[in-house]
Amino acid sequence: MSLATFIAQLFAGLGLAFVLFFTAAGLNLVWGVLGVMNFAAGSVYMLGAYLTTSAIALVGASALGWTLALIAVPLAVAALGAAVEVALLRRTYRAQDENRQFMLTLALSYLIAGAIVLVFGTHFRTVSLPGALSGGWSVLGATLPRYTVVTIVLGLLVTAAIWAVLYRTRAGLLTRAAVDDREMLSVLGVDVDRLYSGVFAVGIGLGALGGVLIAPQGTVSTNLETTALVPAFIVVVTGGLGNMTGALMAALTIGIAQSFAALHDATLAQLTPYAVMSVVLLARAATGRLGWSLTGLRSRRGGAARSAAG
Amino acid sequence: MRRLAGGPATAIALAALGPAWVLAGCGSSSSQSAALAPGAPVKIGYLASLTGFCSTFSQEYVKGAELAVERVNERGGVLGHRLQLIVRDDRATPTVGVAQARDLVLSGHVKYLAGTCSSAVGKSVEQLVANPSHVIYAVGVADPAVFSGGPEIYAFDTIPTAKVEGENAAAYVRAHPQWKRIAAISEDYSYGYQVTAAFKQAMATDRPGSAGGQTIISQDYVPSGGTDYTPYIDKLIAERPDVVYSTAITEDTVTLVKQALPLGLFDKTHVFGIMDYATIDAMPKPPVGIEGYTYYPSSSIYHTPFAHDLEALGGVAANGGAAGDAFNQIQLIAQGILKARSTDPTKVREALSGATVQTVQGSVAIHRCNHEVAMPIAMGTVAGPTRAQPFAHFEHLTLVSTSKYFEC
Repeated sequence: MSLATFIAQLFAGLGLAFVLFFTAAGLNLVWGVLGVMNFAAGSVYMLGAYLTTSAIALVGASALGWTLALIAVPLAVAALGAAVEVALLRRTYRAQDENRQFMLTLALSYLIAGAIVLVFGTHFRTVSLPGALSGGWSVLGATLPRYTVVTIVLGLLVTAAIWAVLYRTRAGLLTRAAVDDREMLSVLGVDVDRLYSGVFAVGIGLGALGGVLIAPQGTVSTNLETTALVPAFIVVVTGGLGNMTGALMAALTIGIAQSFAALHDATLAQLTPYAVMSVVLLARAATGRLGWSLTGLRSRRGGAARSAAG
Repeated sequence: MRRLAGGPATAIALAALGPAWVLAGCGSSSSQSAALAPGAPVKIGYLASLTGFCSTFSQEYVKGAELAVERVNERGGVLGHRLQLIVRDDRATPTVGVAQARDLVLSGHVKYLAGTCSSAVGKSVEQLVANPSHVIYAVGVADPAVFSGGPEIYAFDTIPTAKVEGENAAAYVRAHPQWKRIAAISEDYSYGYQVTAAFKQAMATDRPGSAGGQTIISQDYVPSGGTDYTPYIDKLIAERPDVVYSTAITEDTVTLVKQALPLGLFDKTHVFGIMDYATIDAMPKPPVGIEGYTYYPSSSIYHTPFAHDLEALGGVAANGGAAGDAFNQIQLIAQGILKARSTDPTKVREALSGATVQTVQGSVAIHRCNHEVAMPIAMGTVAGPTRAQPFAHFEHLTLVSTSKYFEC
């Protein structure tokens, strides 16, 4: 393998990893804090992609247009997510009925998909990149698509922002505390309902961000739902439910492994996510450890809850 | 109903009118439609994958079928009977497709079926109609196994199979002996495997026409509907092929091209593959200069009366493949009934086997041994929009006859 090929595959893998991570991070956040397995995550991703095509059609495929879409679409979908959480999901928390939550999010996924077909039709849509993001850069003989580099940089920034908010802000502290002990937070006077709505909105927004980023790379069609959901679940399960660090490590491992596996065989590349998940789950079962840091939303022995109590 | 009269001179004159003559609905009504009550419609069940993986373009299939029915009925129908289209969603799933087909045949008393975009559905329905239903099934699927039952089958294929496509691609590559290192990239489902296998078999050095020294250095199958083909494209570039044969279709072609452009694949090697007009037109930046081929009907390639008819659908539907293929399927059924001078499916089957029918692509033969239509393949170079054709299209077109690839 030449150096150029190595660099090209590494960057391709990183680009894939961060798009995977956004959807998985959203899923993880909702699961970790609210305890809800959001089966509408794939639909949200798809919705983000479709709304991006509309936003670009409205504003134009210029750098400004793309920046506006990058900000506005996730915010809009996040707001929609918050509304759904308040109106529907909140009613299921008290009963702690996971089956009801599963059915609700599944129903939402069908509703979103159906609405997309009604509004946008069944034909696929495409958007183009602004000139500044088209083309590639030559680095040590490898051609790196500019858009992939931007995706990676954005991925790093969003990841850093997630960590900063979770571990450096009061909102993050309360979020982690809610994972540990919701009742204690409530007793302390924290509006847990509002906190949950905010977390759900952020989780949905992250999923939509994945859709925004994928939109210009290919076509936007109703197939996106399943192409996003299954890999996101694999990343979440591999990284550990509710474990954000784990999700990031899983996404990076799977993305890079899949990219290098493609050098040998495309079928092998497609099997890679499942292989990684299987190995990790088996290792976890055998040793009780994940293999990488367990630091995540669930702090040891309710530490966040105690910190929030002051 | 006007009776068709006159001798050879009249027949020649009428033949010059092309499809209009075939579908004039003329002919005596005395004994041809014994299977149907007078005035009863000829029902055609259309399996459209309105949900599922083909849903993106299935509405265009339906539009094409509806247009064909409209055209036939405008000209008086067939043997005094109007066509009636009954559309059902097969969800691109064999169990659903067979259930719908069975319901159409048993409850709906349908004797003619058409449609589906899925070879798996097509295969299942073909087995249903063969025995004992005896229902004519006009279908456009690429799996040659659907038509492997010999001349006794009731199914007719309206598009080249993967075998024909692969053979034609191999002939194209062999015609360029300077291409020594060949890479193939397909989608990871039955069509991709079949066309690549046919291509490889046809490229075997012991086959006639082999230029020698041409080696297939890699074959990859990318996930159908995938969103990131960058690793596979990087691999192709690393292999330094002289030519890449791509059989990614529709949406996946768009994804492949969009991601290959910034990686410089088209600058570093020749690429050719299957591309229909709707696909290249959908690309924000069409791959100008790439050699491509299509057998999907397009009014801008095939300047025939039927192709002209398709323009009524406008835009993507007129230039894409789905509407035209469905149009051909309905026309094949209608022409079969007229040739047989009967609505009895068995007589229609006999009339169509080995016959020549009018399609969007022009006059094409139906092979007697396997009921595959010898649809020509259009090969050319992708060009950007021009004043004359304000959409991405093919130029330097060559229409390739595919009859030579049939082994009857």
